[in-house]
Amino acid sequence: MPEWLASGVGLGLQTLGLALLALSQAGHWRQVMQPHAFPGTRTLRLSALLASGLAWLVGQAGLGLALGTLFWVLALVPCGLGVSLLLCWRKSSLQLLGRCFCC
Amino acid sequence: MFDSVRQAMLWAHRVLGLGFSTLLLIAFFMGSLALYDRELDSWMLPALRLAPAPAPLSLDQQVLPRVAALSEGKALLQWYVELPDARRPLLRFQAWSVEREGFSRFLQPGGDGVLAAAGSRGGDFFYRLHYTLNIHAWNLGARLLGLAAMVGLIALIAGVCIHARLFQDLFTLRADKAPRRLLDLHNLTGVFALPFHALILLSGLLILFPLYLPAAIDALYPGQAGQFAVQANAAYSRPAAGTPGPMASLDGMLAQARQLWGGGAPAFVRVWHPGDANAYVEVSRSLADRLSLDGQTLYFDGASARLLHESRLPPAAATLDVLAGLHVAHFHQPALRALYFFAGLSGCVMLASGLLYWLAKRRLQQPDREPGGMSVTLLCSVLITGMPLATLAMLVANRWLPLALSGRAEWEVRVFFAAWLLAGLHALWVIGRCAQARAPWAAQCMAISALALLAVLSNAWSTGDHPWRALSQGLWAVVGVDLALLACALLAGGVGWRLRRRAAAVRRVAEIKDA
Repeated sequence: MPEWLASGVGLGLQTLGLALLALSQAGHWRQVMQPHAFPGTRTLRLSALLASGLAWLVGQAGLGLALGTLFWVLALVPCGLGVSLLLCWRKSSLQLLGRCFCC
Repeated sequence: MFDSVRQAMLWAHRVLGLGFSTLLLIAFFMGSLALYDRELDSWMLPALRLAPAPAPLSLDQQVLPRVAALSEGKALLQWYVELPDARRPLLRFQAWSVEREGFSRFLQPGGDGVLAAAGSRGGDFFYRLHYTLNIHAWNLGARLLGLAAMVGLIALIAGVCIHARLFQDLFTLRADKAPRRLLDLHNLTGVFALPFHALILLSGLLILFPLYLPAAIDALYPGQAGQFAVQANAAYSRPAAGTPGPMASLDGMLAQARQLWGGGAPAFVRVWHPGDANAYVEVSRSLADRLSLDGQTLYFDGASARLLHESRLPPAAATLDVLAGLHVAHFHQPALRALYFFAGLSGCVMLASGLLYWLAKRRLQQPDREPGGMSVTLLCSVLITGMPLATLAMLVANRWLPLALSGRAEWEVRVFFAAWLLAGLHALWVIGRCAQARAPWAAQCMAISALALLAVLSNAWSTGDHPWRALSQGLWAVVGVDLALLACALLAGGVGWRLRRRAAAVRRVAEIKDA
């Protein structure tokens, strides 16, 4: 897999994983998905784990084991801050994601 | 003294953080810049701006015949070349004479040209400032930074211990609540980049451990510290024979090295005792796709090109090389380097927001002007806006100072420190005049924005390499630095404009109240 593609997909998946992890917290779910009931933590956290794990695998495919793992750890910083900014200023962008988990 | 362990940790985090933030902020900011030292070299030394050469390089044809001319015919102890790579498409030649006189040249690969790279220290200035603070007497700068790294690690651990809602607040940013938003920003940048911060502080300490803990080395290698380095690096050496000898093909040795490394590319070639019968050649592997700093160095006999020694690091040295490699980031993957840069800047944000939060809390407790609060306000201003201002002033000076100016590189450094001092004096003057002792954030943000824009324009005017032209010529380093400067101009301008608008609104409300 070309490096630029692996980096882009890895960052996207890591953001998705962290966004799901954020929604798995009842406070953030209420903040984003107000009338919808909180679906519980298990599904959301398993999905977050899956997306984040996929991000790690994509990093491995593009950069190799050591550099891919380093990429995954460092991607936490921009992706995590990005999710925090979305929660703060663009909640609507996370609603689409939350709707996939509504009961 | 304290009711609980958490309170003691809170005190330690606050006191240590406040005391050592200055040193850590300088190290983090300059370290982030140093990550792009070669790109800054290319921007600050236009003579080095070359697009990558497609022709294969031959050391036998392009370097060996020119060694005597490049080192002014002096008898040499050693010479080496750093081979061109994706980040610097140039050959860097260095030689040391028997009398320890040094020669340094940049060569054009695939040509006979010697590039006149002088008049600026380039990215190397930021790199050295990052770990020496430009204080060389008794290695005081490096020692202070070592202490700061150690204290930083303690503050980091204390910070994690006092952060009671670490997971619950993982994504929380209450932007509308002051000063809570500063604490949220401090926590966010601290927690998401926690592995990076811990790794950078620890590896920074380990890299310079012979300076900080020399006693063990002195005890085991009394008076022979160099011998420790030779053993730790599993290096090879032999003395000169004193009789002349031939030199086998360097290209042949590079081909052998590639084969032994299973296709790995060579990056560094050093010839010891050139022209002597006992000459030997050291070839190290490229670190472009590796974490560790272990160059898997091979040693060849100069006359016969026979492999003499293959350095295999002992486990402790190999571990240290991995940690040091994670600190210095010599790998070339652009996205990974960008993430490193971002994580370094997040360290700056963590330290700056911590200082500003302390200041905001103190203002709530003691609204009057008082020396403690005023001095921290000044410190914040000097670090948060003063340091970027000084850096940008240096870049602008790099494009404006006449090329014929004697000691031009030193003048650039003087401009850097003068601009920093001026920014500090301006902050001091404004804080002294302001009834609430506020720092001149808006004015200095605007100045940062103007200087960043001026740096891009100055580069385009003095070299003709505006971003579009640099892009069309494949000068990625120049395009990257210009785009980073434009982003900085945009960001600082936006922040400055918002702060100015907010200050005007506050003034209007105060006037209405007065009326």
